[in-house]
Amino acid sequence: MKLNQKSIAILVVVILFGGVFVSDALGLWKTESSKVPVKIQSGEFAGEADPADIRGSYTFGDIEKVFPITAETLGEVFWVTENPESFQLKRLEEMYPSEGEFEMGTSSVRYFVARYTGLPYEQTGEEGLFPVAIEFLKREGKISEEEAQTIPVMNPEIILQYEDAPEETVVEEHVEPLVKGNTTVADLFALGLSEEEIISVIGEFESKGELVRDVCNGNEVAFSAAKLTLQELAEK
Amino acid sequence: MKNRRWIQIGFFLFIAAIAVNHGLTEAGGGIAWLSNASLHAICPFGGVVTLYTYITDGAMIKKIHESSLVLMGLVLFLSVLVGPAFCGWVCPLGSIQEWVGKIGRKIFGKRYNRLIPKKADRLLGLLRYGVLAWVLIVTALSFDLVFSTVDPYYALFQFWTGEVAISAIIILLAVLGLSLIVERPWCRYACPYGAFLGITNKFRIFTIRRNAKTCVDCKQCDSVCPMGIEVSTSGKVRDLRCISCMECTSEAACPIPETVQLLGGIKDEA
Repeated sequence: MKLNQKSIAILVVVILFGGVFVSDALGLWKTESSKVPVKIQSGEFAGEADPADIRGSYTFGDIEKVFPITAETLGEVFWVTENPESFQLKRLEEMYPSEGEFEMGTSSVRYFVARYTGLPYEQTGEEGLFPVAIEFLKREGKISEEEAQTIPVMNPEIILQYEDAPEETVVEEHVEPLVKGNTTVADLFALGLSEEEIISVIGEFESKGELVRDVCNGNEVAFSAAKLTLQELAEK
Repeated sequence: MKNRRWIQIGFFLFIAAIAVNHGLTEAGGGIAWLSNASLHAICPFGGVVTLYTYITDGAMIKKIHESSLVLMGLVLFLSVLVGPAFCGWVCPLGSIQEWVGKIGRKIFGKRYNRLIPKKADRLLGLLRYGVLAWVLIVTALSFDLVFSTVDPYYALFQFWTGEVAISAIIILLAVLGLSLIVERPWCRYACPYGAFLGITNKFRIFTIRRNAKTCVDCKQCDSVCPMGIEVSTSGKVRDLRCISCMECTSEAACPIPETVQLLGGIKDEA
């Protein structure tokens, strides 16, 4: 059997475009993140999903699919009352201001999931839980009273601040930070930071449209520390 | 214009359009009916580099998505059938090297493609397997797309974004510069994906075959091969470097009908 140039041209187009079309119809064609954390490599829990790889782009619903914990429970302990299934973790940092070294963000969710599931997790130092979450873990028998004492507690008043504080008061008393949860890499460039400075703080990024927080999470850099460094660099 | 040129131009413009649309979408605009996937998402080599992580951990490395695995499978299927036609017909980086090479041919005339001795050319061709091994190992160890820092393909379509490592831009410029004296230098000496697909030349179903009975030994097939293969001394072209461009066949360079052809089937293999 002989093939000519025309045959190859047709084969190339049909196989590539046809294959993409079929895979799309089968739900296999995905050009965005799959929202599945990597598995733990070794030890007693090898093969289990790694809570440390939960990303800020995940929703509580994504976590429910991978870990034995419901989105409703996560909503309850992180005070997310409306539609917790579709709530993205990165919004936590927008909702709650950081409190000292602690920050109610993705790392807190990782920490809670790890404590709830009993999976190993190395703390970064910025995790904190609301008292309601700690009580929940105790009630479910996931932690002892002694262990509960060691968990950093987030002041629940920050929820009240978020929910009740009049906007005018916040504007008057609070100096708006330059780097926030919704700050993109492009925003950092706009603030006058060089690419080298940005990479040295948050690590490599894929595009300027990425959220700084996502880049930090992806590169396992503490966002709370990074944003302070970036703020200092921007204010130079 | 030959079929291959149309296909190359078509894919080059298609990938460029998607890359631009990705940037526009991130900036809040974009064309709705055109894919806005990232360049990594539509690169089949991403599927190769993430394969180990996908099998062992069930997860993709950063920046790589399932679409890369799909494309890897499709390109592999195409390659098993007719050889690495992806390289010769689709890859925009290969295409642009060829186009720059046409300028080189005009500048250097008959000296083009002959400035590097044959033996050195063959030895340098093995380098790409070293690059392939390096990419696979460091990616598996780091869970990161390390190759993107030196990837001229990524640089070609993203240089305008300011997101490309300077090392990748330097390599792209070096590749385009070298294309003026040797055809497809990246494909010949460094491309890890070409190295991977080239393995299918050893067992592909349809193979370039030269009929020694009708061959007049004019060596036209040798002179047009963009990868420097000596087709005139081959029966079946099983060389790892073949990219199935069909330039050597009786349909293109070979002046004798049915002498160099792409043939398949058990009967033809016998």
